Amino acid sequence: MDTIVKIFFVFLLAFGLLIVALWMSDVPQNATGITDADYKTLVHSGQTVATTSATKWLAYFFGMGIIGIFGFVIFIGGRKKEATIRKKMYRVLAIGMLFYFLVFNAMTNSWWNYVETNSMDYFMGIPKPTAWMFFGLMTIPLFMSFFYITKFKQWVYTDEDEARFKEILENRQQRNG
Amino acid sequence: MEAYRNPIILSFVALYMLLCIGVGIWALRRTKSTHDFFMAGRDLGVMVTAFAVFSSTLSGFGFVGGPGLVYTLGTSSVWMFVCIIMGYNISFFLLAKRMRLFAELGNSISLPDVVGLRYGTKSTSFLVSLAILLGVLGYLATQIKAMAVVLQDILVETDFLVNINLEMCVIISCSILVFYSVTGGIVASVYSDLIQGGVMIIAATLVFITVVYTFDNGFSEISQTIQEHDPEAIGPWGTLGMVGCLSWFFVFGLGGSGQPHVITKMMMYKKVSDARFILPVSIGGYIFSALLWLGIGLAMRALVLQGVQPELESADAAASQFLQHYAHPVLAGVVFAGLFAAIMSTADAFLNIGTAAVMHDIPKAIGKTIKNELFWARTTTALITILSALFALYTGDLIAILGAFGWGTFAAAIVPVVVIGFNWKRATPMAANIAVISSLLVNFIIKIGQKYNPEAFAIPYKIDVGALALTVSLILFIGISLASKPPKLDPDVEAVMDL
Repeated sequence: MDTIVKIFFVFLLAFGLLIVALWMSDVPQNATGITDADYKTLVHSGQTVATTSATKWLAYFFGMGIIGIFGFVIFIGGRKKEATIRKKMYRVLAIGMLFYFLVFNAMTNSWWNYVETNSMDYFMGIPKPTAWMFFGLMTIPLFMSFFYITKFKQWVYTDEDEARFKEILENRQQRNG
Repeated sequence: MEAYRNPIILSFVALYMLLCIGVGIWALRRTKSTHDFFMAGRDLGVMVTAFAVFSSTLSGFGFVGGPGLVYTLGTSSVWMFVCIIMGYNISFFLLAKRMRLFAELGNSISLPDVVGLRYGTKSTSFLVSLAILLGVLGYLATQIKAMAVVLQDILVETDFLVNINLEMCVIISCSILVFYSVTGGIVASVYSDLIQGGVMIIAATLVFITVVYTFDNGFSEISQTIQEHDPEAIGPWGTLGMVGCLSWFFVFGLGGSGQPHVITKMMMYKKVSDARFILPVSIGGYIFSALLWLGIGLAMRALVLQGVQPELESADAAASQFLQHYAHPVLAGVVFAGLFAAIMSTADAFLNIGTAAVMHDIPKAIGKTIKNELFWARTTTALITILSALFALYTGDLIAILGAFGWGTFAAAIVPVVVIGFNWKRATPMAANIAVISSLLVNFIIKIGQKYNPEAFAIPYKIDVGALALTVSLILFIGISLASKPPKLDPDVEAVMDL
């Protein structure tokens, strides 16, 4: 367990440095939008981070870093003492996180294309990169939820765990009177 | 039917409030001890827990602020819920089982209680209580204000209450809230969440269908209208841009498992194995309810751009304007009831954890015990509501600061200490204390700085303050724990952490 947390710590430090780099970067003009010329309650987009290659890649790695953090955290939660269960659980979590990485990349790529070519491809009535976000990035973690639901008694809280907990509880109650 | 729009809306809201009072009276009989008042006797079923989890997460923000943000920024704020399945996965993989087992092991009635049990120190429990209390005051005040503003909007449209003021609306809405929270404690809260969650799902789904049918070509027309005006607004990052959106993705995805009013529910369900059923119901409930957030926001932006709808006075009016002009009166009535449901379900959850902090956690951390806890729990619930109502009415900017302070602070303070610390034996009390203190400092200093000196405290790309605070507190928590001697844990706690 300590090994995962130690790697996570190094990853977090790198993520912190990435935020510092973003902070120091030349922010594209009106990168967070500007009040629309015709409608005062609407914001209009400014230049995107894809305008310069430096900010484009920093923003990309920022996203990958966040997904990496989610991955580390969920691995910490997937720890089990029994090695066989742990391996199975880690395999499922690793596949789930791999899909997450891939979908994030597909979405980002699709958006870069959208920015460069201004292409108007739609999927179910919304632009393709936005569709990747809704139908891909949002739903892919259901893969991990599925295993949590179906393998709960085998992986998360087994009958042995339940019996062991009862034993711990009884011993504690006896000790404390 | 159209002529009766406002009476219909008012009837639905009144009916809903009566239902809350009924739940309060029913729950009174089931609340016989402090344990019942704060933990519902750890006897909740799957549906009640799942609905309580998702409806507390969504809050009134999803029905008012959320559509407003989509209207103003395009798809940017969608990142707050794109992360929801991953966020619930994190909460359930790391916390659902652990919280439930710790709660039973320590016979705990609050989050600071289980924190105290895990770390074996009162200081960590005290600091977590303090963070909860500060967040609760701000959050509760904003929820009360939102409730009163919506009620006033509805009542002024009637013939007989045209001149009703905000103070009176605060009194009416708080009276209902206090009644069912004081009488039935968390039992009333979670069972009203069940009704509230149901109303929210139905209302949001119907609104989404209405949104699609408001336009001849459905969602494609909404997309094209927005895209013709500003292609980025309907792109994946909206007008805020990639980095700002991703910072929301981070703080809402990981930070969801640090929200005390949500994760406390994970201490209350009957059987540990129920967690596997609670997860999918919570996910489903949240996604359906979030359809309203997305649908109304995008529809109003498109309607304004098409010139069908005059520009809104304020972005927060997006939902109410859509319902007034484009939804069937009965549907508008259901949605307004759903809106009250969303606000009240979050408010009562905050009220419960705030009361626990004041009359149980903080006194316990400083070595005091309170006699007749149930009586004082009820009294404290009423007092916190009154204090928050005064706060909502008379503190101006402070309430906005504290309201904004909530989510990010909870995320930064609680994620390392609870989410990581409950799964990693090496985590030390010292690291936990520093993580909580750093989260309060980073959030408070930047939020107050941004209020009074926006230029000096501007964050590039509008990265969310909570994301910065969460990164700092995670680094400090893990770094300090790794640098310290491994702590000596209570053998029972250690054994439970092995399960």
